[in-house]
Amino acid sequence: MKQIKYAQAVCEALDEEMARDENIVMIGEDIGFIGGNFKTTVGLMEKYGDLRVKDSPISEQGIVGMGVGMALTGLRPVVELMFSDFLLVAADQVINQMAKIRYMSGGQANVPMTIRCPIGAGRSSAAQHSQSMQALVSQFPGCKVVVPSTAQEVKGLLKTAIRDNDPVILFEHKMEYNKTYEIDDVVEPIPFGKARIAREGKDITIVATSSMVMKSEEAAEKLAKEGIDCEVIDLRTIVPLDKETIIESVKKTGKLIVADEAHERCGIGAEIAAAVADEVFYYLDAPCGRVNNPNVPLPFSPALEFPLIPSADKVYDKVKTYFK
Amino acid sequence: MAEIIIMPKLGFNMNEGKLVQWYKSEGDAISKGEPLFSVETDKTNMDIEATSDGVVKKLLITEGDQIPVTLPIAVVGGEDEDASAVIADAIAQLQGGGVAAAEEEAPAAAEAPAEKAEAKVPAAITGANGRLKISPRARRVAAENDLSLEGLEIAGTGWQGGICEQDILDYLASNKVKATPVAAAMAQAEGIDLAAITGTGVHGKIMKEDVAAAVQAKKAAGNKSDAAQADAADGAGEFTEDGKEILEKVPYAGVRKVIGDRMSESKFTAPHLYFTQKVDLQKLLETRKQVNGAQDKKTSVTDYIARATIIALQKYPEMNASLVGDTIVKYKSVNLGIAVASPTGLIVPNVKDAQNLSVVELSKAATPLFDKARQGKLAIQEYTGGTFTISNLGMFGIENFTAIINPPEVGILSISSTKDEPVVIADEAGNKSIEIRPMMNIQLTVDHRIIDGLLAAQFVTEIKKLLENPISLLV
Repeated sequence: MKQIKYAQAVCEALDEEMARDENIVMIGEDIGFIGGNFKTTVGLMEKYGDLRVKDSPISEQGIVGMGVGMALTGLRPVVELMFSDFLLVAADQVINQMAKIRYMSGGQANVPMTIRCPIGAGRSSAAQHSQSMQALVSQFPGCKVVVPSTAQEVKGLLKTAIRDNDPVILFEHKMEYNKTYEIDDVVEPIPFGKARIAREGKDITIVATSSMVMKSEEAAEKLAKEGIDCEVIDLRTIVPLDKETIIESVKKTGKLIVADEAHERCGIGAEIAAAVADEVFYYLDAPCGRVNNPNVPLPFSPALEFPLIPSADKVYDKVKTYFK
Repeated sequence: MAEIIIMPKLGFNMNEGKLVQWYKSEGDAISKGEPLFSVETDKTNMDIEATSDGVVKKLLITEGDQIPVTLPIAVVGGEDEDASAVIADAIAQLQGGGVAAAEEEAPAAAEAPAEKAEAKVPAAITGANGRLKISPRARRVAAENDLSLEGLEIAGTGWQGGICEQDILDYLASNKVKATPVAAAMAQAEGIDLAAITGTGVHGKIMKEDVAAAVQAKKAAGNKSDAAQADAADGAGEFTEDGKEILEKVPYAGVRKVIGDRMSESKFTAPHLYFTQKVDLQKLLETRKQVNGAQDKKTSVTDYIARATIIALQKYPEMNASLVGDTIVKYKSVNLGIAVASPTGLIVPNVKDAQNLSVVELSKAATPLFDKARQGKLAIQEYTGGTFTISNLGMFGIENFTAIINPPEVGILSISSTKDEPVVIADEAGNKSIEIRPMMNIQLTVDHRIIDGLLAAQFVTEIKKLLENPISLLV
């Protein structure tokens, strides 16, 4: 075991994978000379050369498009977008090209490519740099969507993403980069589609993504002292979705909350609530609840921004509405 | 623990009680043995005494109210005890029984404002549209435990006050082992599982006597195996104090006791009066042979007797009646009970609305009831609500027997065996001769409180006539 920052865990995953497979190349804004806007690629250009770790111009459409092309030639590109908001700049390349080529080519070509990009509010990055795009991209068939929680998780899941033969979008959380976590000395790839039970409990199920996992654990800790025993599930991947683990948990607890930082409307929470109602309606003891960003743009002013962000307290308050 | 006081069932046929007077007001202290209220029964007014010390927390009905027996009428609890939950439960039970709780009087309201707030069924129970507010999970758990949600009065503690799984589980737990404190303590001391005992108290509550019976049954079972071992060892059985050898000891409990209690109540309450008739079955047996030859359903003699009884009951509706409190209720519907020996004892399933059924239809309706009765599978509605009973022991060669009325009915017809006998027959010209005829005794028992001898004689003779002219049973 060792203590490292989340950003370092990302860097280690990239480093270990690049050392293992020379077909892995990286492209992105400021990832080489600067070492990444969030310090996730420090030292990699020095180690692997500027051919494999490529600083790009400020053109997300160009970067993603280039990644798709490289993937088609047999390389394993890892594309970094500085903010997940910029997926929209590259939307055609992401949704219509990267995610569709295997299907459109009748399986003749595949795109073993990973897009890494940070989500989340809390840095006064304002409405165009604070969004969480995981629900949006999950809508489109053809790519896998990963929402890691801790440093250990991001390292393991990023390795799996890089090794996957299909396109993967992996969302890092920008408020986690600078946090220190304890992680195993050796982290093996973590399989997709298998959620992690972060905390076992019997009274209510909280399905969480990304940093909402840690916030939910914090809330659960507090709730435990009041005799409410929460089960916290770290979803790990939205596509593929591990319905089985969620359903088993709901069968046990009868109550479900989904905690995700994206906007509430048409989000992951709605998707999971619908799936649960479809499959285990007669195990539900209360309506499915959601903890999300409200349906408003995220403000620049910290005084306005922080009250909107789903926090441990908000998870706590939501759970409490089930135990009056 | 606050206690719900119920309208007592003081007589066999008492279904409703009228509250004559409250001797205590809300807030009054009361000690064990003090009269709490007076009830009017069909015979007299009776004072009911408190069974424990406490304070009258709530009077749920007012003087002059007449309500069904076993419904709550008051709550008594400890002086400082918060009885609001028990009161709410009592009101819910009362309203479940179709009775509105008494309005708070002003002084009482001033004394107990907190209770006023509770004096409603918790709004949780039903939603605005009158549907039960219950989670899908609770619904499933209820279904798995065969708990009917119909009229279920539980306060919800779940989402927005709806009924959640835990509420159902709590309800099941509290209902499974509804026992008096004495019974519970006895059961614990004797190591007996309360869940295995069927309660005979109000709403199936397990009483001291039930536990005692279970203890005895357990001991008897123990003794039996002990005795068997002892027999094997030295050939000696168990003996009474005065030297009688005991074969077996069986507890007087359960269905046996219910039958016993009902029969003794009936015989002690209703003065029985008996009338016997001899019936010539020659024509009926021929008719039966023809009917059975003409269609698939094999009819029995009992089916014809049932039909004859129904026709007679319609002619003399006084016989198709019950004494309910101070009213004699005569029924248009004939729910004809037919006594059957079941594995656990005598049981009387009844054919509902039998007045319009033909002999063959009666036979078809009764056969499945007999089968169920013999398998002990009758549903409660299949053996309750009868209006008249016939009991046939003919197949055992019985010459004649008298039956005890199945209350709250007012009569029962016992049917004995059919035997060839020499009979004096007179032809139209008045010439008499002796012939051999299949003869059967029928005997009518009536409740002399309601039925006089003349009516009973006419009724039983009517049945005789119908049976001797069986064509009248088929038209």
